[in-house]
Amino acid sequence: MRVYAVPGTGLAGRHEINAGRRGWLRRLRRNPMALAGAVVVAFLIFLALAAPWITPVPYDRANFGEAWQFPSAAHWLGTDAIGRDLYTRVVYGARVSLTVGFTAQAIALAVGLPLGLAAGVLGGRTDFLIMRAVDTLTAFPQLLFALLIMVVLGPGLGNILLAISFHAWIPICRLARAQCLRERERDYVEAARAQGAGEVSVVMRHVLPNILAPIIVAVTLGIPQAIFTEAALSFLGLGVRAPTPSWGQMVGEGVTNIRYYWHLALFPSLMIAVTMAGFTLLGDGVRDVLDPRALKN
Amino acid sequence: MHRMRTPRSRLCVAGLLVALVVFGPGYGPTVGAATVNSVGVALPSDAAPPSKQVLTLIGREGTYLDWSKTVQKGQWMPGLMSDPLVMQDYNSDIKPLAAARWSVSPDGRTWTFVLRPGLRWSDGVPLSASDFVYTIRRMANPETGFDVAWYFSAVKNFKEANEGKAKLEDIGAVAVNPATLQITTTDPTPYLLMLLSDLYVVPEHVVAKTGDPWSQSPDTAVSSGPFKLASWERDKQLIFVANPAYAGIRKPYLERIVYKVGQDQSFFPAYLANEVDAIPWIYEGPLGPSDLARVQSDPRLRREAHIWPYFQTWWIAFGGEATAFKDARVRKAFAMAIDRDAIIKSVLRGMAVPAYGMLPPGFHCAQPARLKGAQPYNPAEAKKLLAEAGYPDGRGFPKYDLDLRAASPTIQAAGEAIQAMVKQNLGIDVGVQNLERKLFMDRLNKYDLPLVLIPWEYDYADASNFMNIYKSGGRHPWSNADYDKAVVAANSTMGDAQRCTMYRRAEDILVRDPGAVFLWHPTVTQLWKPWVKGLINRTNKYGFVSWSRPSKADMPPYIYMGNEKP
Amino acid sequence: MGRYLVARAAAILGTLLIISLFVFIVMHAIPGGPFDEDKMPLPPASKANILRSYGLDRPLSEQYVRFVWNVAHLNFGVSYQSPGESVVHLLSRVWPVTMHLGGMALAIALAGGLSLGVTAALRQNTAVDYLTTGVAVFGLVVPHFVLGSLLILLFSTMLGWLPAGGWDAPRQWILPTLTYCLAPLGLVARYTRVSVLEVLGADHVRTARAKGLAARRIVLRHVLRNALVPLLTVIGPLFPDLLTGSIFVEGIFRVPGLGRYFVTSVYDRDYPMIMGLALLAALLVSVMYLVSDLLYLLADPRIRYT
Repeated sequence: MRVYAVPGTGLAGRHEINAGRRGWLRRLRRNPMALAGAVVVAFLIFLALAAPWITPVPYDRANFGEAWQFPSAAHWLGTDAIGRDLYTRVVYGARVSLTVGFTAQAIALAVGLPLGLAAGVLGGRTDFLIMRAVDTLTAFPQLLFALLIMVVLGPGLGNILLAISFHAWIPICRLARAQCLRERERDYVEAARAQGAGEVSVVMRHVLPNILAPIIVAVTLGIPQAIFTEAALSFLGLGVRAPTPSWGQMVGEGVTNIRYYWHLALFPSLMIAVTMAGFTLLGDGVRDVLDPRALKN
Repeated sequence: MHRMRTPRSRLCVAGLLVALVVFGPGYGPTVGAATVNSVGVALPSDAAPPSKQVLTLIGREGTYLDWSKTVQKGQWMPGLMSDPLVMQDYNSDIKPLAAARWSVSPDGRTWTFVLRPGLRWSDGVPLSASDFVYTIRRMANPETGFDVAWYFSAVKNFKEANEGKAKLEDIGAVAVNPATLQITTTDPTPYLLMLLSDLYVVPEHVVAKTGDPWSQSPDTAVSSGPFKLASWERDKQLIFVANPAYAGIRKPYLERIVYKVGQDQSFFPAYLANEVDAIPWIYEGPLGPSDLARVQSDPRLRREAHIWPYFQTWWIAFGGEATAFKDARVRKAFAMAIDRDAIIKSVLRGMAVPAYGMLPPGFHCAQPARLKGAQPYNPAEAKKLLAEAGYPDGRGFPKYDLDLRAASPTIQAAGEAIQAMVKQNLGIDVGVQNLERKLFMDRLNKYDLPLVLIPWEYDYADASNFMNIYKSGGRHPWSNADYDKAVVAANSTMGDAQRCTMYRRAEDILVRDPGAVFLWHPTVTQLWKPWVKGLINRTNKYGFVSWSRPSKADMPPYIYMGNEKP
Repeated sequence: MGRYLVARAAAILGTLLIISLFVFIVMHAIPGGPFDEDKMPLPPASKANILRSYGLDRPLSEQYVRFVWNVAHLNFGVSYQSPGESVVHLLSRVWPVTMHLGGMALAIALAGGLSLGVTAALRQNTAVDYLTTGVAVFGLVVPHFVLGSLLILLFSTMLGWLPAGGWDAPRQWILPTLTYCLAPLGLVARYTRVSVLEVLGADHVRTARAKGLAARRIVLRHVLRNALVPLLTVIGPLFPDLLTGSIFVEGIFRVPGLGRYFVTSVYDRDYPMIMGLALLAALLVSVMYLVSDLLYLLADPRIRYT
């Protein structure tokens, strides 16, 4: 019925991947953008993990005598309304953002991939049901839905994840199904089938490995989307519970102060931007690396 | 930033205004060959021509322009289109408005008002005492669903009618004749006039026919006030024009008021871009700390900023018997762990004064100094109390959230400041949760919130307006029989000095128990351009220059545009 | 083809029905009703009366059936936020504003994104390419609420060139449109670049190049046409996205559009409006998918729908 194709994520055949492991590394080295993205993401993960050791104070330590300070040697990124060190809070903010990004996409993968495969492999009634569910959810206005969920269940990290994951699995599911349909028609699958392999084994043995690359790309590109949605919800005041620092919440509070205390909005916005850029570049890079045809010569 | 400089010209204007207010514009002296505006008011000599007598404001949008239908969701400034019986002037003193005079029966229960002769609606129909009766009955009528019906419960049978237990005709409001209105209260109610200053009369002949939507369209929104509605473009703006049929005492200088609609964060940029002449006060304040810093660092903005104390109090309220706060020692420990001055200095940037009791300084019966030492900031003592209550260093203390009601970023920061203080001084971890408004109120009204940061702001300048909140069965679960007794007695005592003594006794109980931790009273910072002139630039009896009751529009009739308006 | 369209239309109706039921259940699960007020709760008599007048005292199942029945007669009820105004009237008042803003943003995003993307692809790994990537990534990574505030600060407060808000004169359109179009522009540019690169590497284009055809002709004739097909998947969803507005952009710039209602309707428990918005947005998305499927059909004759 419908073929969903994100350019460079799926149209090209790629059983040649297995052939060239070393080419893979070489291509990564030749792709500065992907490298930059990987470095950024690695850096963010480092920040999130090492936060307690690389920050001078706990993230909720208030120092009322030092409120509203601009960046200085003592406070690299300045301080906020109650004198908390902004550098510390920005570093800790990576935890919420990365947790949201990774968890939401993990859920998306865990839900979307099996459903997509099931739809693609089993076809028929299963396919019809799954795709109707997908169509229905696609038509659901996302912000409205997230708001409803957050208001019904109340703010908090778990509910944010729920609100985001609810939509995040759809592209994965679609992609998996489309890839599956495509691979199924290929000669090697036909051959395997002719040799008496069952559907499940065909999927696990042959289809899955070959469609993994575009799925990885889609997941990587989904991470910044999830982070962005968390930021938007936090901005609307429906985010994680304070004093846990979240970039979105910090930006929300900071934007109202943008006309004078510019640092409060600038640094968390910068972190959101860098994170988005990092994951996007990495996603693009991974695609280029896994899909040689998208690379020029 | 305080307006210390008072140029001579402004004093003259002020003098002229006093004359106008006292005698009404019709009898006011004219200076030279003064220009007269479209409703026959002579403009001051430094005023811009009538074509420029346009005041542009920006604010939030409401549903009805009908205070007696809804207050919470109402469009602001009902006073533009309606003349209540009495008004609060810029000193918050009661002055006659639609009523020329009134008298009280010796038992303090029956009030008789005589309307000013010649008053009429903008469609020419005379304003009659029966319009006031109709307005009161409509507010009490459960069909109307008036959201602050409790406000008038002093009026006899009002509450009963509102609850469907009495007939509307039995409410204590009677039109003796078209010019005479009699209002009866259940108990003697010394503050009745304050309540009546918010009785925004509606036109019976229109409302009875058109129903609730009458105030939404210029065709049906007839006015008894100085202005009338010219257009209401939803999500965009409302335009009011001077009401030519108005025969009351508040004839305006302004030809037009344009009220632009926007969300809070768009107000200050619009002001900076000269798109509006002034930003009226909004709940929680239209200016954030950063905007204040900006104002303070800019000499031009400093001159346009006006600061005055506001009758609003923020406090922390505790959950009831089911929470750890049932122990007075725990409540006291929290009270002593919070440093008001630090919050005011850092989060609020000095735009508040510390609150030691419920009644804001300058408010009716307020005497904050006596309570200053009642719950001092004392972390060591707080720790001790908490340990005595069985939670040494906060160990074993249940996990609670401090809940905020749809808080602005500033209040959110204040909540986080309290969280930090509680953690640093008591070792207790509380989360700070900003709840969406209805969710918050739903749970608050069910006494389901263990710890809240919440304000109350005055509706009328009488201590009962604040003190009634903490009566048993009120907004918070805290309950104290002595408090209830003192407040109830004070509410119906006629002598003011006696009343204040009783209210203060109640306030002492509330603060010392403690039933709440009173934190701060905000000050208002409001901006208006130098060409916005009139009574708002005059110092009132409390010593402030203030745009009083902007939500009710008490000031616009006394405002004019100076000739420097571009 | 006719049968296909009928089947799709039926599927869309089914989708809308499911969504309406789901939203209905969820929104009634939210604590706090539309007429629960702030300072003090409404007296029970008053509240019962209001609920009755809006039919909210009925069992939920009956309310839902009644809703569906009314909607079948194109009656979406009366908004609680703007009382006296029907949902249809409200939408017909605010949606055109949003479509105007979204339409301008969409036009700029498509025109700008396509040309930037093609340029970048043709000059891969040059300064132009990096610049384009920079613009595209900037548009994608800066949230609306930051960008909007920044633009006001810069162009209105500091420079005084443009108004801070409003929606009456073309001058007031510039900043919100700019804020709104940058993210989709970045998206379109990025995908165009990739898509064009892919096609450039394809055999028939190489052949055309080898034959010595002029670069411009190759791009217009072979590359763009082929590159556009996969782009449809990216461009399609932009339409419902941009045409339903954004509370961030509209709120900051005082644009009297649809965007804020997605949030205020939930906060105000404006049940009829929530339903109306959900159905409107769902319908837009569904129609967009139908149209893009039909476009695939036009663009690629190998795909057949039955």
